[in-house]
Amino acid sequence: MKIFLILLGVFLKQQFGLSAAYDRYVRRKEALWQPFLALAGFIGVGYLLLTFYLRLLNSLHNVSVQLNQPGMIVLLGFLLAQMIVLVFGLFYLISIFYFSHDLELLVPLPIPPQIILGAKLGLVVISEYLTVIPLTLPPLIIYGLKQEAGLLYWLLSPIIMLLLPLLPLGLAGIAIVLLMRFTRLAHRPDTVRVILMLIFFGITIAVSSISAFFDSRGVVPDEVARLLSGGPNSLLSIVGRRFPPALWGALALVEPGAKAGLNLAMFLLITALSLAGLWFVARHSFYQGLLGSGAVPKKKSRQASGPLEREMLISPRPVLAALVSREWLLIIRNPIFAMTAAQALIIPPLLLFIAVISGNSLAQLRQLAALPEFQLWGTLGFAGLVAINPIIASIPATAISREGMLFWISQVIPVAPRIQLLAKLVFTLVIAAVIGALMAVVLIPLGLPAKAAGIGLILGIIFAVPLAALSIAVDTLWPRLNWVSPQQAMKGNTNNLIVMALIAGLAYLLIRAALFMNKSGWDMSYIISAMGIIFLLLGVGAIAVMYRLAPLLYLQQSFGIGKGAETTAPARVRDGGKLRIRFSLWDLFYRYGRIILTGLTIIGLAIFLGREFIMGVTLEYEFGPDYVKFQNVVIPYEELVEVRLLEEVPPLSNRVGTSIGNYRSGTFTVEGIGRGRVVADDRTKPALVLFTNKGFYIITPDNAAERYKEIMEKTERMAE
Amino acid sequence: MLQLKGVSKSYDRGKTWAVDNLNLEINSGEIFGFLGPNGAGKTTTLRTIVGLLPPDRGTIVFDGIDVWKKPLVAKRRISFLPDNPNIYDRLTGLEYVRFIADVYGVPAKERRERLERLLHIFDMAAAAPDLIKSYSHGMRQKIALIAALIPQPDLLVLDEPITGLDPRSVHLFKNLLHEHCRAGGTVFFSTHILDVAERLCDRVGIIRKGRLIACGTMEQLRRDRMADTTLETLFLELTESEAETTETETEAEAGKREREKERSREDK
Ligand SMILES: Nc1ncnc2c1ncn2[C@@H]1O[C@H](COP(=O)(O)OP(=O)(O)OP(=O)(O)O)[C@@H](O)[C@H]1O
Ligand SMILES: [Mg+2]
Repeated sequence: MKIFLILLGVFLKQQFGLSAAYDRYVRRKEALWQPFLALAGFIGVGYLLLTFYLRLLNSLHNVSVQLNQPGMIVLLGFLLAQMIVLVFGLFYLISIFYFSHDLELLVPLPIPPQIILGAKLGLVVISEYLTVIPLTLPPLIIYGLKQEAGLLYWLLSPIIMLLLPLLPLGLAGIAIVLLMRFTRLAHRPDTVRVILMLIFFGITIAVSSISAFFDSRGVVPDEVARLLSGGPNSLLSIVGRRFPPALWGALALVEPGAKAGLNLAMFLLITALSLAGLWFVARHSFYQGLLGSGAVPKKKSRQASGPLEREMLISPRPVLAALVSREWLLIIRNPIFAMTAAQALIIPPLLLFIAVISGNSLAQLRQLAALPEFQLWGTLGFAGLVAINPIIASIPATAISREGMLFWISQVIPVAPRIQLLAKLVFTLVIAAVIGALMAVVLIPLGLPAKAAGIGLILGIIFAVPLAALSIAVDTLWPRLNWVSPQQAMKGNTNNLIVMALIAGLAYLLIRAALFMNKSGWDMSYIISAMGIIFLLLGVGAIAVMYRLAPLLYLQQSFGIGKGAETTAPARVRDGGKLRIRFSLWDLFYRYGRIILTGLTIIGLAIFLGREFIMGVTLEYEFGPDYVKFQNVVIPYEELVEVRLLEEVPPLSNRVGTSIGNYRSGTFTVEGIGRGRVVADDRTKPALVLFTNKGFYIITPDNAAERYKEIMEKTERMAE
Repeated sequence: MLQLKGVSKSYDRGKTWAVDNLNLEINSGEIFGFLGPNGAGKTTTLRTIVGLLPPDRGTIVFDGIDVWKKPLVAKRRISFLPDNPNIYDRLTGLEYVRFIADVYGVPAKERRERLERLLHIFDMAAAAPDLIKSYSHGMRQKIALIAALIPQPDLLVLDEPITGLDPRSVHLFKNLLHEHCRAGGTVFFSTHILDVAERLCDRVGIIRKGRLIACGTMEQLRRDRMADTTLETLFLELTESEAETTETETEAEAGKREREKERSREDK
């Protein structure tokens, strides 16, 4: 037991960097503003999230009481927590049990494997509490207060809450230990990460297609009615049937008397069983799975061991070619980098393809492509796609970060930082061109005019120059070099966020410009040339910025993880003992710009996403004397061709926009009408369909019937 | 000639100095051994020379080129081998060597000759086409060495180059260094293996807590100490004491005095 506690203590310190934090903030009292700022931010964000969650739970609770299902929120909390533990536990357990570097130290020590395993499990459990408690505590409190629960409830609920993560972790643990025992995966962290990524990707696609399915159908009312007719808390058991232990835990709290006891017993039993199972399996299989040869497959080119073949393999190349080839090899030989890039590079075109060939959108696209306008927008759109693709794949924005601990090589080789950055730019452009050509091959048979594809491809590569140079410049300023797992370098790199925000702003301005040119009656060839010239100029500017920043690369410290691995800001020294750091705006930007910009981007994103949500709540339809106004749309009555009144919004599909609850905003395919704009604050309310010459709008104002009459009268009067 | 003038480097903004006002001159054609206890500042010094760590103070000049003012010109003439052979392990040995040769612009003919020779010397011909990931520690060290040697730079900066090499490789490696110097090249390397340093180096420098406490040929060091000892004894004496010393008096002397004082205090 003592060894167990010591081990657990060490793990916790290592995992959460407690010793480092203690050393820095308590012992040396350095940078004390950091923990305070973090705390303030944590409290702020936590407060927002919590109030949001509480409100949600509160209304859920009210609904569930009306439906005679008061225990619902407790169950929902439990289910959510256990599901999350199950999914994330898998990732967490694998990395902590098998791929953590301390195992090489621990295994040779005279400590029984169960203790190591137990301490590691303890670490995972404690980490999981960080998600379980915030998720389950609020519903437990709300239920307890509102239902005026007894003493037993208050005593039992914290215990059950703390036991919650054990069961899913036990199950996940058994699965993983067995998997590792009977496969060689324990020695292939990269392979496992790729598999997990694929699983995650599968889940994402499944969830989005399911939600798309419900989007178009909605929940069938009969089914809900049938669910509810089964007496108090019946819904609970139906929902909980998917994962019974959560149900038992919840029922132990919300059912009266003996039933609660039975459920509690079941809950405890199954939890204990899963732990015992894990214990048993681990005793017999943990080390077997762990140990054994960690063979790296040798790259088969044995023939190259003769002098002649070698000569071909090492023939001289121009420096730029050598650097570009290095970029390529470093991405393609690292499964994580390769997968991350491939996901973003291949999957959007793939989804596009699936979306286009499924259903009737193919015909629609063909129609669209036949329009004269499409030549312009198709070309520009395709060019944008070609340019943005490598950016989304985070290829340029992590180009330096990816080098990680090996960045020292870039620092000692006799190649100017500018040239090294240029190589990264060229590499990005090559990727853009290759994937762009691939997309053209897919899209041309589907209706993209060949001319638009050809011009779009060239234009896209021009578009890509400033975007890529800007991304590389950001990574030059704030590379993330001290990563351990490659995911941190690429997906988990906040430079992506910064870059996407910058590019989104730029794209917005340029689209506006293109729209303006088009409105002013410019010829298509003029607009395209103008765009090309604008981007060329931007490209020159962005490359200039990138070049200006290039020398910063020499200031990075890429070796060793720890304080030495931080960036040394350009420090100026005065004579005498201590270093003086010269503070200037530039230094501040260099040090804190990344955090500030990331923060701003996240806030911006939150506002952007939240805006729709708020709009859904506060959406107003304004009926003026001779117009209707909603969101950013104004329709003068004289433009109306036809108005229809419907009992509710017809089923919608192929969403391009937002749908939260019953709120719908965006462009949809509306059953029986066609494709048009829907701005409905509640799709179950009576709806007005406003047809104009350009298309139709569906809105759901209060008292739609009266509005309908009003509009009809006014338009008739106008017609006379 | 490599000159370090008043080089200082701190990792914690001046609270402690990993390298403290270091002055050194290393002549062309010389093999210079850099010795010192763990954490003395050897690696830090080498990194400031090759452009990995900007020194907080002082200048480093190689053949009249300030390595931090004209980094590219300097880098073209310097090769570096880090203390742990942390190189692109997802490349094959050949791919890595080719990359280095490309960026140093080694012409085809020289490249072929040197590579064949080095692969043969280090017995790496068979393993060269394999992924570096599959190499043993010593093999990694060897391929990193080959990559450092293939440009035939004027200055070789090597951080503990022989740790991990087998005796045969060490022997051949020493010959290589001699050859390099005969051709006018300079070698600056750190090591913990004293008898290698003793036999291989033209001069040695001993650093302790970031300060140079002794520097010169073996002869000079012995003469200073007035004893016909080995480098090992010298090293042990010099680095033994805990006392801070000025540059004029050696550590060991100060240590002795310190101990005597303590003893006399205890006697009283
Ligand atoms: N990345 C780093 N961050 C903080 N301090 C560092 C870092 N690297 C080295 N130091 C400190 O600088 C001092 C000198 O370290 P250095 O690595 O130069 O020693 P060394 O002489 O190479 O030692 P060894 O013989 O163990 O290789 C040590 O006190 C060490 O703690
Ligand atoms: Mg060292």
